[in-house]
Amino acid sequence: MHRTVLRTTLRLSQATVFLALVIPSAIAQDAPVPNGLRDAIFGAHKHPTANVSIGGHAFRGIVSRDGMPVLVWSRDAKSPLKLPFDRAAFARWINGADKEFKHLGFEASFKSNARYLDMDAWVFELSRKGVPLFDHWVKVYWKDKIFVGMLNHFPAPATSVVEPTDGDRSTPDRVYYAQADAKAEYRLVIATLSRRETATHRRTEVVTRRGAEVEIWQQKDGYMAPAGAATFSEYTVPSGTFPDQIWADSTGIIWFSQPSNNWVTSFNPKTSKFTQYATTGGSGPDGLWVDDKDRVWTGLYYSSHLGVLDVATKKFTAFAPPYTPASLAIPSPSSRDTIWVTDHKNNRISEFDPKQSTWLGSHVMPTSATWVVAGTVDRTRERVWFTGYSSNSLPYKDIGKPIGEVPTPTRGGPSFLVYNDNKIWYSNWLNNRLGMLDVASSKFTEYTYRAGETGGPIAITPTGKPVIGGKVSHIVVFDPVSKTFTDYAIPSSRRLKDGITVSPDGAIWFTGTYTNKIARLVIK
Amino acid sequence: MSGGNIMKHSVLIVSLFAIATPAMGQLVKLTTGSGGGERQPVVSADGRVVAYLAMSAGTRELFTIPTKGGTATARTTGKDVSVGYGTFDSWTSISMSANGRYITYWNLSGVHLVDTVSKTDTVVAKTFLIPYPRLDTAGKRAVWQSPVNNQQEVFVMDLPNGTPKQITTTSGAGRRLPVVDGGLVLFQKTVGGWHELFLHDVQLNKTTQLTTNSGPGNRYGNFAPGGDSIVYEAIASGCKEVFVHSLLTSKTTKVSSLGKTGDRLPVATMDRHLFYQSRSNTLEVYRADDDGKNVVTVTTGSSGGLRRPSTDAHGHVVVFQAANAGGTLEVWCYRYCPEVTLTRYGTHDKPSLGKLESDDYWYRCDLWPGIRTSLFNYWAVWALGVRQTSVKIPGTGSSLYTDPLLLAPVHVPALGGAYARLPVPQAMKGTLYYQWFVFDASANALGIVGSEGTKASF
Repeated sequence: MHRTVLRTTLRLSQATVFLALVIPSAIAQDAPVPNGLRDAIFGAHKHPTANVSIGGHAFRGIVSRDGMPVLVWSRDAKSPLKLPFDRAAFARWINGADKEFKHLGFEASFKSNARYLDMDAWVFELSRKGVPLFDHWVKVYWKDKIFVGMLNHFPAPATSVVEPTDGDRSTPDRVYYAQADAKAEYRLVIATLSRRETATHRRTEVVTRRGAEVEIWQQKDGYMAPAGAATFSEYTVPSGTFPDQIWADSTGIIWFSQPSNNWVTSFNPKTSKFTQYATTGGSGPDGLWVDDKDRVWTGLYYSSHLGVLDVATKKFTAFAPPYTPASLAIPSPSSRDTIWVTDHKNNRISEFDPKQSTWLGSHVMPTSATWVVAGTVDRTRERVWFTGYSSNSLPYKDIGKPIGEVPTPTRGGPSFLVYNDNKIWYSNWLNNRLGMLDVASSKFTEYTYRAGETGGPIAITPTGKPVIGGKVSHIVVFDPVSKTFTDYAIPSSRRLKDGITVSPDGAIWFTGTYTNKIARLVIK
Repeated sequence: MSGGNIMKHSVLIVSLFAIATPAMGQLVKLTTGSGGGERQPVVSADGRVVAYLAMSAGTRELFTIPTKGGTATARTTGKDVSVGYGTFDSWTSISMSANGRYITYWNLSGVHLVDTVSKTDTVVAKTFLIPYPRLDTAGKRAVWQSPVNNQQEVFVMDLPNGTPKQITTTSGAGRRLPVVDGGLVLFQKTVGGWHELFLHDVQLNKTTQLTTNSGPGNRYGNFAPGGDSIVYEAIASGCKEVFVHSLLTSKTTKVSSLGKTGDRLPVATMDRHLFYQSRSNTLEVYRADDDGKNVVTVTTGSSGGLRRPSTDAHGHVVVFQAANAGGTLEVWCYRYCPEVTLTRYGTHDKPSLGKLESDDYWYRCDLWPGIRTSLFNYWAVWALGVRQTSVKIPGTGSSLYTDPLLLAPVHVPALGGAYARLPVPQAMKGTLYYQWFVFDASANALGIVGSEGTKASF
């Protein structure tokens, strides 16, 4: 109950700030994001919200930096919107509101029905003059035929649309592709899907005039691991709720954050004992990372501080941020024993020196509303990399230089990342593809895993296999050698959100955030 | 001397004790209250001292402690030693010379060389991006990795004042993790996407690829003491397994079939023993022969992250880190046989040809007292007692240096030395005295040539 009250208060505060920037006339009250849609986009409950009017209906929602509705729901939680529970009629309604949706003449047509949690999700594809828009869609969520919300996954900001030729319209593999520029703005250009098959895979290359934008691989065979290939051990968190990010310290103790309870919590795998530690001086421990001295770092999202628990002394210290307002989120290491921490909402990354207990700097992301999520380090280049969820980019920072940014070739919402051997592996919150940037060649490749799953946190095994925690019900392990995924169906600690790690012994640990469990997966 | 030399000498071996194999060893916790983070212990090749890292006044510092236990000695103050950390940085961050005198580490100032005798700490290179410096056995040469054009390259330097020399170029992604043994440098480099092991001859400036198709992850390759082989981990059936590659025969042997996730971090002795870590419920330390046989569990029920086993040249001790009851990682030592000090006394008598030379060596937990001569086809007797004496033997230039309780004859049918075998179980305590007598009719009136005496303190 306390959590609900607190978050509502904060949401109102956030909304006030945001609306002052985007929609000055809006009123900062109304319905919060429905529980079922909390993870429809990354950190939905933390984004600023605005009042949005579309097609004669009043929504509350999250909008892009150019004001495009991204995720919307009924403005009045007690009064569901009377939207047509009819797919064709709904498509007509979307197309009739092209201006509000900022669809630039792209028309929606029903494509498929899916289940998302306990809801039905209608998926509408988008096309313009007969040419489909690659990798974008509108999803409409219903529960018991009552409208819950709508996710408008359309490129934003889109600055121009190339007109298709007659040849483009008559060629099946011709698509619209959202091509990012240096400002993270999009030109909608014509691309060709170049398809090729190997004995085991289908490979699709998206080719525009400037060349191959991305290569996407999908295996032909099934994904499911054979029975007995792995062992899950699940542990119910005895106190509090919402186990979030997770890490193993050098002694094998598992640490995770419980932002709803203002705790960081340890779990001893040998004794199965949980121990909670209060995060004094702040609240809302969000991201969590344990450093090489077994200090547990956490971003205190709601009280703006960077917190650290010294495991040896059990002393918790909170450091005030170098700017206000701040919502410090996810800490990560650098190559020089300093700590980077992201601030999704305030569009910053900041560097903290634990030796001097001082901030070395705070940097505004070059793209507004990046929603910078998490970081990782390339110790050879002394470069820290981050994920830009809303900017669909991989920002990076070299020592003494301004922040750089590499747009991801598709707009899947990069959320978590790991670095290994010149490769950034990242999860996409909005789709079932594992992304990979080869830093040396600047080439992107994406690998498709089972339909129905989406990422999710990511970690990597000592054998170099990226592991994605699916937000539905699977742990997904990728073998870069064979380019194949193997799935492990989670018994009960499902619905991952932000927490997965690989402990020193190679076991995979993750948080079942909404099932209030943590779990260990041992493969072999 | 290696096991191979035993065969070459074709000596008669005398078993003196019924215990052919050391009994169970002894586990000792060497440190307490070491603070947060890893200890990353390394034991000297002579098995006498352990270097490790521990927290002190908020910074990570370098310490040493005898493997027998005792008082730890701080080797750095306020240096805040850096360590590798994370999934692909399981490599131990410090290294030590065979006699424990020299130790390398790194921090944000660069690569350091500590001389524990002169008590100096010198920055020998200003690189600090996970250089993982390694010393050779003599402590006279160091290698490390350092970025060049965004790629980690291998550097070698003669200590203490040599000039660092880059011996690799365009090595590709990931870490090199070099180790050095005399004039040979072993490192990993990317080939076809995988880290493969390469051997570089510093003298010849020649590099040879040793492994192929090793799969993802680091190889964590190491020389066996003596340099006859290397031990490393590579992927087999999706998991990291232990492999041994002979530098003499170029034969590669897959040693383990663990089928478990996680790093193995194998180390080898010069006596064909390997130690590595593998997961049971938590990571444990195992010992095996270098052909994969005779696997024994060194630890059970330990907890903590990586065990990081480190062993001496003969596998007398294996040190590792594991959590203690208080939750911090501490340094533990599992000892298979006691520390033995050999002290010579008296003098060698002169044979008719050449001279006598004491030539004791260890093979695992067997002490092999030996005498080398230039004689051909001769008999010798090994004399073992429990008291030191010094009694002149008439008609010779020799003395009786112990009151022999046991005499063991050895025939050497050709050129070479004579050797006896003395198994040394962990429980063995006290002092023994021994010497050799060589039958050499031409040497003196009695035809017997006595060696110097040796005091063996257990």
